[in-house]
Amino acid sequence: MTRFILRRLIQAVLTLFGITILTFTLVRLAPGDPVSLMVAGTAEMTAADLAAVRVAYGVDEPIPQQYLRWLGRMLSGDLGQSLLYKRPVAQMIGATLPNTLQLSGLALLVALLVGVPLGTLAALRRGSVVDQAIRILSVAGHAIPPFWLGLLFVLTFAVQLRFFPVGGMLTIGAHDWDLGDRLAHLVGPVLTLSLAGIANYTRYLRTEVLDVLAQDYVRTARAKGLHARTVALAHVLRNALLPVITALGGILATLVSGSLVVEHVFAWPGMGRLTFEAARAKDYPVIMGVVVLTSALLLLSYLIRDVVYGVVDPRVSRT
Amino acid sequence: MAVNNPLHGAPESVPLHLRGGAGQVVRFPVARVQGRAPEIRDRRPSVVAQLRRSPLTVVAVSVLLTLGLLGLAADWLSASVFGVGPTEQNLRAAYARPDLANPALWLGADELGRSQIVRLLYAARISLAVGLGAAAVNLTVGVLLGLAAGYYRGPVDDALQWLASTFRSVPSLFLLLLVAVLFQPGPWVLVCVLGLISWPGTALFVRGQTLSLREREFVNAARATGASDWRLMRRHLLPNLLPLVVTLAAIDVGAMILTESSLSFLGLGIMPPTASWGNMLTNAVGALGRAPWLVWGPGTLIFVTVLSLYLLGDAVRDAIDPRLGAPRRP
Repeated sequence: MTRFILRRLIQAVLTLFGITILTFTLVRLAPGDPVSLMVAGTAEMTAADLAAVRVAYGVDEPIPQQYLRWLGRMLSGDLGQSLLYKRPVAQMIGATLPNTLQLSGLALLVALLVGVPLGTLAALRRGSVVDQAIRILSVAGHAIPPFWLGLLFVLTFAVQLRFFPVGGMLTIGAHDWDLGDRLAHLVGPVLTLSLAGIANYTRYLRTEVLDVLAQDYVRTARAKGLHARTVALAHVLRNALLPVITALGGILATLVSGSLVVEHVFAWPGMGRLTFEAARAKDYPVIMGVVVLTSALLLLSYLIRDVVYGVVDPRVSRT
Repeated sequence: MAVNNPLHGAPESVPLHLRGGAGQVVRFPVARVQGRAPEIRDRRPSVVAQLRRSPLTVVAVSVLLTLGLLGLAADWLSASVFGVGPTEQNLRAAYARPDLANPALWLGADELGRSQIVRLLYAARISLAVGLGAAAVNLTVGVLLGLAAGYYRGPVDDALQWLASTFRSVPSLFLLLLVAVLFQPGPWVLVCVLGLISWPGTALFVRGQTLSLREREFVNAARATGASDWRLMRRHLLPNLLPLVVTLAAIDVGAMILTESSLSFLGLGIMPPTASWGNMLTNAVGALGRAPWLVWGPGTLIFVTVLSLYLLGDAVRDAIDPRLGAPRRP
């Protein structure tokens, strides 16, 4: 078990290392250098001024040296400074990340609560109309562009019917702990964001349950004369749920990417919106910080997932 | 993950019974007792026959063909039927309501009075072209790297695995955003980047296939006759891999179109005045109350296109090998 965790840890660190190289290389491949991006739009600068700025930011050094220096700063928690706001990137991410986590966490919960029963139902009624309908719905859930779904939600429920607020996190002037107001603001973004997850889990559970249904112990349980419901819940679902942990990886990545557009549509003050606005302003240090940080968080969650899976199912860690 | 088709993980191994023989009628030399000899069919009908049996798949293919043809005919249609170009402004018709009397205004007009339906046609061309182009890049990079890793194994394989897991662990939309900021976004940059983000799935799949293929007898036989590495890969491994890999990459076009439209919607993909389904929605956001009809067209077309591609992909996978649809076990 220790060896298994250790091996996964080393893999994760190596991958993170690769991501930092990728990010850094991309920035250096761009036409011009970071300083020319930085001074773009500022008043006239002489060549001497430019050279001075280059030296000040260390852009004149050889690239591997620059990379190592940048990596060192990243490791010590210094994600750089925003070109636009001149504030530390870490601070800007820290202010918005909790809002994104709140959104993604709820979306994940909804995805589980809806996707698992739907997928199980589809598998138990294999080939029926219910199964067909659920199957098409889950493909549709993948195919619908999340930003368009969000727009439709805003258009129907906020602009035309006025059930929910158009966007934001709290009505201006509302009390911080006004739960009703908070919930009303959450409904749209959470539903929009969770759809892809619901589709994912439905599909996944359907395949898993079908797999388990074909196992010998299910036949045995049925042959013993157990009630169909007992077999479905105690034998089939329990065993099919285990791999749901594995599916978590893909769904987390989908949620992170999805938060970008959903936060934009619903004006949710999270990390996705921060990134979007940084992209609009060509504030590349912010995006670099977000890319590295979210990748690190994703890798960490994959690591936890693998370890949990190894604990729950010892066969995994032995291979 | 977002760029790769989210419906499936990369399948690990696939039997190679794609080509030849399937569905052929085999006549046995039975004695003519009652006139007709019994017809014995191969148990698995051909892939195309299986696809044609499902009405849903037929609909999906028709939708895709129609959209493709409309996109190709955009120039002709806009000139002869609608009478306006995709970037022709008419400020007096800004936010014009859909009007069946005037072909150019069948679906209304946007904030600059440009005909929505004509722009949708041109956008179909761009979105499909970007999707196909990205799939081509994905295929080229993925097949080359996967083939090399599976054939040479050892350090080359380790390097590929590391590179692939690196690319797979970055949230792709964020990475795309970074690229859009650093480079001048345009159709070509978009094609390259979408392809470069999606290659790991293809590469890992090709790698797995190559690993098992290279142990087969015909490869050994070719090696024994003194064939070079290059010849082995090109003449013996590649032809065996290609049909399946091309199919898988083509299916990913749906995911590519979805990502392209997200990026264009955010204002960082295809740039106006070139119309794309994504960027047509960017400005519709500001006019939700005033011109809600602008929201329906582009979104419906993205949805229908991607849905058709996914349904077709599912059907093709099932027809090729039912096991492909199953998720990988850890």
